[in-house]
Amino acid sequence: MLTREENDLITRTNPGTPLGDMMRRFWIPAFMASEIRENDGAPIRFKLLGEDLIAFRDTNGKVGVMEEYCPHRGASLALGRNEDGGLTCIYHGWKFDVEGNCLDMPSEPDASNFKDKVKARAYPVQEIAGIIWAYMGPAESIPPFPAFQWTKVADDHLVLIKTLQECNFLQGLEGGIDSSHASFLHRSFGGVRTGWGNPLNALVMKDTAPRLEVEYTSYGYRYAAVRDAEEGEEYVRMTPYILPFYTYIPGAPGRATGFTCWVPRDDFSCWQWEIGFNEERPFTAQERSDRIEQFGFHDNDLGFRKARNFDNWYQQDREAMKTRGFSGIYGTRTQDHAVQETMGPIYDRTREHLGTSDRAIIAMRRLLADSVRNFTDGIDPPGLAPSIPYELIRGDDFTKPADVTWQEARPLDPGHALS
Amino acid sequence: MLTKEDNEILCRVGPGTMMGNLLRRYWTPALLSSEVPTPDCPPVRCRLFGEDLIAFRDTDGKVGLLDNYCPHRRASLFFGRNEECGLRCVYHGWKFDVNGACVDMPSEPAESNFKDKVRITAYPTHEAGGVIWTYMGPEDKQPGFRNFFGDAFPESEWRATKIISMCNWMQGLEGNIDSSHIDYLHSGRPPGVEVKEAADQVWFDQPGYPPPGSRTPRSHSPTLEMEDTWYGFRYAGLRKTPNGYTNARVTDIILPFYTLVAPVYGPLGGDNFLVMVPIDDHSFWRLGFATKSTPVPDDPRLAALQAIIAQHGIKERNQWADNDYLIDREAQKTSTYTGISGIAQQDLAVTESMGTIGDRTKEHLGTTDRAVIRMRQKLINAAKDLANGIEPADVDPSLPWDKIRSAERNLDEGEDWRMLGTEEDPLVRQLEADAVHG
Repeated sequence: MLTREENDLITRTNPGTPLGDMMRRFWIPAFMASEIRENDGAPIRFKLLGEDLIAFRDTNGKVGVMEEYCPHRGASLALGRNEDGGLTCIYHGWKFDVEGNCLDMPSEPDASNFKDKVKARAYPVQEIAGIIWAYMGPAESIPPFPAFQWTKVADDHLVLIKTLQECNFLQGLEGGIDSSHASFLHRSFGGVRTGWGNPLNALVMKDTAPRLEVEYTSYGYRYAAVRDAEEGEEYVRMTPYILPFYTYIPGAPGRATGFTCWVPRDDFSCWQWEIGFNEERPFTAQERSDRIEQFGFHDNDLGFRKARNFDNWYQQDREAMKTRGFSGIYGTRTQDHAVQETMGPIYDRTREHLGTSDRAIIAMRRLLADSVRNFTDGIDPPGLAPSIPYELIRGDDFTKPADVTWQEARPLDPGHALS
Repeated sequence: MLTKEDNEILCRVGPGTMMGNLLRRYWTPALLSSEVPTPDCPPVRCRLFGEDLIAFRDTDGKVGLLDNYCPHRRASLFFGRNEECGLRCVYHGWKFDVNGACVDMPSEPAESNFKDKVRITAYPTHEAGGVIWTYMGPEDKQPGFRNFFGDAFPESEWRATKIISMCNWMQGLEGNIDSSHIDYLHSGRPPGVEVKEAADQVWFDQPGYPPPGSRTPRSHSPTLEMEDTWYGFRYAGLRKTPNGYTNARVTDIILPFYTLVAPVYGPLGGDNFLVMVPIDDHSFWRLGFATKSTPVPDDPRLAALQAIIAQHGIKERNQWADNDYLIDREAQKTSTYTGISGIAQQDLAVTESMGTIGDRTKEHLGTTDRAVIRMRQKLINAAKDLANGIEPADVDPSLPWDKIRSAERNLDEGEDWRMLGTEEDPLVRQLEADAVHG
């Protein structure tokens, strides 16, 4: 349970909020590179952290991300003409390059130098792993890029899905570090993995009350959900939480697995990224489409909204709840969205009741709140140090002897240890 | 750039706001005559300055403008029965006349005098130029009607229409006094592509008034000059032509929200008198109507306008923010400037895209925004003056409201644009003589 003040502190990300300012010190996945595929193609408009933004790919393929509103009188640059190395506002012809410099101001007299004084608010971007990443913080504090392992594989080793989630990002993130719910929400009654759920392996089903243990790290923390297994053994699902909003789905190295994040769009919605990657080989076309369908995102609309959503009560099927899966909702990630969105746009955490299986959630909130408070006192949050080996962070699931701790079984990399 | 406080003063028009109080000192176009065309026709909803009102034309042809809510239990009078010189609430039969008096209260005992004690808010109306005007300010401050039309303006030539815009009225008004944007937003061709002289078009690059259907080639960065007047101010957008002449487009700004856009008496007379009437803080009506009459009889646009007026005068919209104004990116690349079809729709796209109330703390104004700056200053000053007890002077009906004219002319050597459209202008003299003799 949180106080109202704490709840606001770790959910609000508009410009000028403490968490919003802190989050702007990280590189942020902004949108899929494929959304602006063509040079000189139509710009897109979108929201991040409560800011109205546009993006375009210029004549030379460079990507610009900037405030939606023309610095002149505020018309939307999304209506603009994208040509000859810049985006031109259709109101008075002011033209900006990807860095926000005003290249042309034909409505002013030739002798005027006003154009040299005007800049559009533009953010630095990087195009990596099929994603346009933006940095929205102060220029002097730009951090190194968090080079997760999956950002280093070839494009065909990746499956990128971006979906609009209609609630505050924290509700999504909490679900990502909540091992317990997998035994219920995502349980299917069939023998194969489908959109109705996962045929949970016997180890997860045998013990539905995992013991959660948290270990703090240089990037956030990692936690283990430990379940009883065969005689003398324990089954461990290990998940990292990486500031400000990333997690891995537990999965043994080498296997195809997932990386997930919840990027605030505004205080009441977020972009949920579902990134599948396979270090060993490309995804086949079948694997790719199966994966997207299992999450329930194969029929998202052009605005990235899922087909089964709040307005149609997620098409919950009461008959399927008896025969196919625990939730009666098609799409395993849609199931997460359903429970998280129905909490309301920003869940009121003054009213909840947390148990022992919520330990990782409590730890994440405390870490986030402490980091924000420290940040306002001038201390950088975890995860920004250039020395952190981001490529070595990952989730895992494994069985171990009961008398060996999970930390002994999977020792923490020295670069991930708290200094 | 404005402070946040001044932006609020400038944009907010609800009851009790500074600008709302100022606007309520003037007669205001409330709706079109064509919306309530005949006696006892259906009443219409009319939201104005954030107030919900109902307009109806009674059996005698008089127009009433009442509070939307019946004073009894506040059902909407929109559903009311319009009959026998009054509007009757369908809930309990209470009936009101155009002046707001309760003329019948059949649900109360016959001996009750309750109906004499109940009134509904009713604003006075005046019909002129195809528009029903109202006054929403304090009764003791009600001025006479500012007659922009002249008494002789015949009903057969009323051409008032309107189109809705989903943003604050100030964004629309700013666009009307922004000569510069016509070279871009409305240019109709990609950058760098100049208009070519066409077979059916006169290429007019010499001193004088451009004849109807002609085109004057000119530069794309106007110099703006302004002159304060008793009704607000005038400004000229001055542009050089290839032959070295100066093309002057003169527009009048009449407080609080009228603009008479260049040239003198457009071919339709009509759409160049533009009025941005706030519905509330987040939407407004863009009215266009005629103040003078010089129609070209065969102009196809005139027939189109008359067809709209026959259907209540409200122009339909199918281009909205939700469908990106049907922007055609291919056309934007190859054949037009915006890819958005329709002059008014181009204006709506950019002004609505600023957000419902644009954040003027973040803008960057240049020399071509001089008229916008002047207009904001005048409105903010007038609103602040009124808050300090100084009433606006330009509500006086005896001033020559029907003599305000815009103009477009290629200037002769040494000619001053300030003369254009005034009584010293030879064209004006000729038109007035024609009107007298014709």
